[in-house]
Amino acid sequence: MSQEHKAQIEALQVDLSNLVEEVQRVIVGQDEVIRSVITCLLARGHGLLEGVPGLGKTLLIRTLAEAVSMDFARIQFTPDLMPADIVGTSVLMDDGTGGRSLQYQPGPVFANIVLADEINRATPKTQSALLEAMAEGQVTAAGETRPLPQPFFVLATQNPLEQEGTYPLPEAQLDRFLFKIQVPFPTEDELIHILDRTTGSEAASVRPVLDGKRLGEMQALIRAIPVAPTLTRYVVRLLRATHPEDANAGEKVQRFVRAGGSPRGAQSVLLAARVRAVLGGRSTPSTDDVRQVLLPALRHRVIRNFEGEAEGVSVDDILAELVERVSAD
Amino acid sequence: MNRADLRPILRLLDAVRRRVRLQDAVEGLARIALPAGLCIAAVGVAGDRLFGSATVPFGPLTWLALVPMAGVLAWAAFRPLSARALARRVDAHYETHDALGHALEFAQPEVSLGSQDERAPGFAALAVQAGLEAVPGKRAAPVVPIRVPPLRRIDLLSAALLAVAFALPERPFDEDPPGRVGPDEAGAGAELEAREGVDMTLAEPLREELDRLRGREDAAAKTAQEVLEILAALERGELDRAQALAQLEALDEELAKAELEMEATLEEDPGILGEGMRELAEALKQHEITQEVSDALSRGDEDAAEEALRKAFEEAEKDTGARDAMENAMRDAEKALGRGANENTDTASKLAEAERRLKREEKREPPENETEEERERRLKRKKEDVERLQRQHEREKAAQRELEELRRQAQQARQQGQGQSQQQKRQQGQQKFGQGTGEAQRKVSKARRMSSARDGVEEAKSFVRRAGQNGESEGRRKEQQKAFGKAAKGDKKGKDGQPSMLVEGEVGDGPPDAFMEGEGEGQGEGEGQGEGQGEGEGEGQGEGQGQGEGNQPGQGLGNGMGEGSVGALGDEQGMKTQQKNVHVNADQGRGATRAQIIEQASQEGFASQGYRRVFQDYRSFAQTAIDSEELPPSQRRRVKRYYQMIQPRD
Repeated sequence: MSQEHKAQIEALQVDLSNLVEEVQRVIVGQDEVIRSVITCLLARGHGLLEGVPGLGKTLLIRTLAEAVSMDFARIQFTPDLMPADIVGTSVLMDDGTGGRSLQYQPGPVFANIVLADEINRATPKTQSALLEAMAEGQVTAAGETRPLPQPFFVLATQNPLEQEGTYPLPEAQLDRFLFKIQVPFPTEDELIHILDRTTGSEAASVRPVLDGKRLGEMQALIRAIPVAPTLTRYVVRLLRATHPEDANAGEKVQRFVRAGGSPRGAQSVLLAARVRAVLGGRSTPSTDDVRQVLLPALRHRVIRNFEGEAEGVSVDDILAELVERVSAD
Repeated sequence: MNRADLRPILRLLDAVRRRVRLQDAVEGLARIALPAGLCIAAVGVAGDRLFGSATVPFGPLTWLALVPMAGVLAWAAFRPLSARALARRVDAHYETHDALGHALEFAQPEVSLGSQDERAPGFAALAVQAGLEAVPGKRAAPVVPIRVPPLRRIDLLSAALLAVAFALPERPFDEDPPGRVGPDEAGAGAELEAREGVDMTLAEPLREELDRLRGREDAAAKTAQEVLEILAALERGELDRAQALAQLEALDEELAKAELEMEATLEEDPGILGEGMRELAEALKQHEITQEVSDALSRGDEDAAEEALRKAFEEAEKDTGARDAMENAMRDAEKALGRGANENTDTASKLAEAERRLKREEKREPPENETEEERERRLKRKKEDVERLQRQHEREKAAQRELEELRRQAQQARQQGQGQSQQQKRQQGQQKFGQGTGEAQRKVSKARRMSSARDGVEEAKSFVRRAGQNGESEGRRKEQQKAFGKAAKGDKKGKDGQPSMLVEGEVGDGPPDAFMEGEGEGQGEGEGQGEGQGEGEGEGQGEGQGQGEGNQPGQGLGNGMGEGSVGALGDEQGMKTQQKNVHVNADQGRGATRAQIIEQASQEGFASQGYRRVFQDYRSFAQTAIDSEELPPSQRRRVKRYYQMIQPRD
């Protein structure tokens, strides 16, 4: 029995290892970003990648989509993009009998992997078009609700908010992302490697190593991973401590936080921790796994107040204090 | 999975638990028990040094310093340490991703797995197995290293505080009440004292006085010399107090013998003679020509007085003016000596009264309850009183005769006339007067020196007894002083308008609180019906004898003096007084004030019964002052003489 379970975990590790290898054929470095994106895939969550232009965010997602051999759609968000451009619309078409009727034309959201590129360049109205799709895996257009293909992932990229012509995502939208992944600038060696790889004559090609079915099995396996009661309690304590009114809230939380994480944040943490445990070849997550995923899972869910923004205190700093302060039983 | 399957994990955790408790104990002792214990010990030691008893090495407060240690050890031994928390510690140290902790958790029956998938229990079992596989190679020591925390500033401060406490001066050993001092302890105390010697600062006036007595070749000088030697040995620590007291007692006995010898050889009463010589010195002081004589007499230097007188007479023979001055001086001397010779003492009346009492007692039928032996003893006492008064009377008469003789010689020395026979007669008279004055002064000086020697011995004994005491009774004495001052201002007394006894119990009645030996001496008579209040103070054995006499119901209060008193005030020979009821004017029914009683007694010759009570109060109070070391010996004698003068009379 145990051997069988162990084999399942090992098989998952092998598949994921292959996936990572394929992605890394194209993407140089960014190991943690790749791990985080894969975590989103396995946890059935959506990912928001944030970084300055040119760091390979879009390339990473496109490469991943190619490696998993699933339907992929890319939506370039612009200020004049409309919700119908995303979810689709009804158009007047010949029905073949000489008559005409309104027929629904699905938008690019109907794909397994949707890349919402530069999502914060669209207006909030258009951004909100993804709300239902991300939360419930369906869209409602022309008075009809249509399910999206499964698995369904939205992997969005956004430029830092300080940049010109950006619209901050509403909290409700942000809360639907499992992770907010910070894409760091490459190191010197990585940059040299990138230049060597991208300015040469041969372009790297990616072969699919996973399909949707296998990915579904992996996701099911992740949800079968047990979690110790003390760890669940630890996650709950951490989440509660992001609220200024909580007894465990640290000084920074009390001073700089306007709103703490939602229950969806705790779900994200626990799911992501399970993924990290399996990625590590373990059958149950540990407190270390929780700590590793805490920042990407909660950094977009904790809202700073004016003082926090004025003082330039980052959410990551606040969460780091939280990790130091809250301990497990 | 049952707990037996988890045995390797539990064994490891037990080892970790033991080390955690040990580390807790070490850290708690260093961080909490050490500074707290040092602070408490400092307070305890300081308390013992300042207020406690030196016979106990450490007082109860000092032992409280161990309480923090016991508390820390108890906390370290019994504080709850859950296996889960210990497992988390091991996991954190070895970075095993909670393998041990999860094994413990998933091994619990009916544990929530957080997943409804049918594969979840399998994965949980896998976690338990991973935990068991993680145990080999794990040890408790690296997980919980035992480290002694480094010293902090507060530890050093606490240690410094304790050092300061130990630096405080320790109380002297002999502070213990005598009741607690057993023979061995007393011996140890004396031995300790002998090693350390005695502070002689307070004995300096006594030593100076004794030093002045050493100038001559007589018993007083010899006694003074010996007393000084004893005090010096005590100071050096060669003698302890008990030995010094024993030697002083022996000296006292020798002095008593010398006094008896002197009394046997000295026919005249030195008191009468001394008073006459004092008046002679006062008279001669009025004249310039005899100024030196007066000074020499005042100093008690008989040889110098004799020589000065001879010179004055020679000068008078040479010059007429000087002769007139000398004649006037001799006339005044004659008057002064005449007053001394005719001074009426009450010894004669006392003698007559004593003889009457003796005769009355001899004639009176003995009481039924009195045995023959008791009667004989009583009569013998009366006879001894009579004999003593007779001797005193004779000596007073002899002194008066000598003064009278001196008066005649002074008269002869101032005879006028320039004839040879008259001149010869005058010169003979001057010579005789000079010799007589010198002789009389010599007797007075001898008695005075003997008296001074006696006082010196008494003072020395008192000092030795009190050496080492820190004046514990000073507070009580001051309280008494305060109450006495209030009463002396005329405040009303106790119940029924009766003057209250300010001091209940005579000097020497109190429980002994110092190392004492010897028997109490003193003889007194009780009287009065006191509803006394106040507190007695004394440091003798309390063996004063109280003897009730009087025709009033009441409780007799003895005025016996314990040996703790330096010297009993009043007549040392226990002058008998006769009770006498007097009418006292009522002042709103509350009796006369002390001031009224004293004023009335002074007019009536100090013979009222009310005055007797007031005198007792005053004497008791004065006795405590006399016992104080702060009073110089000369003042002490003055107070003593004063109280002899104002004691109640018949």
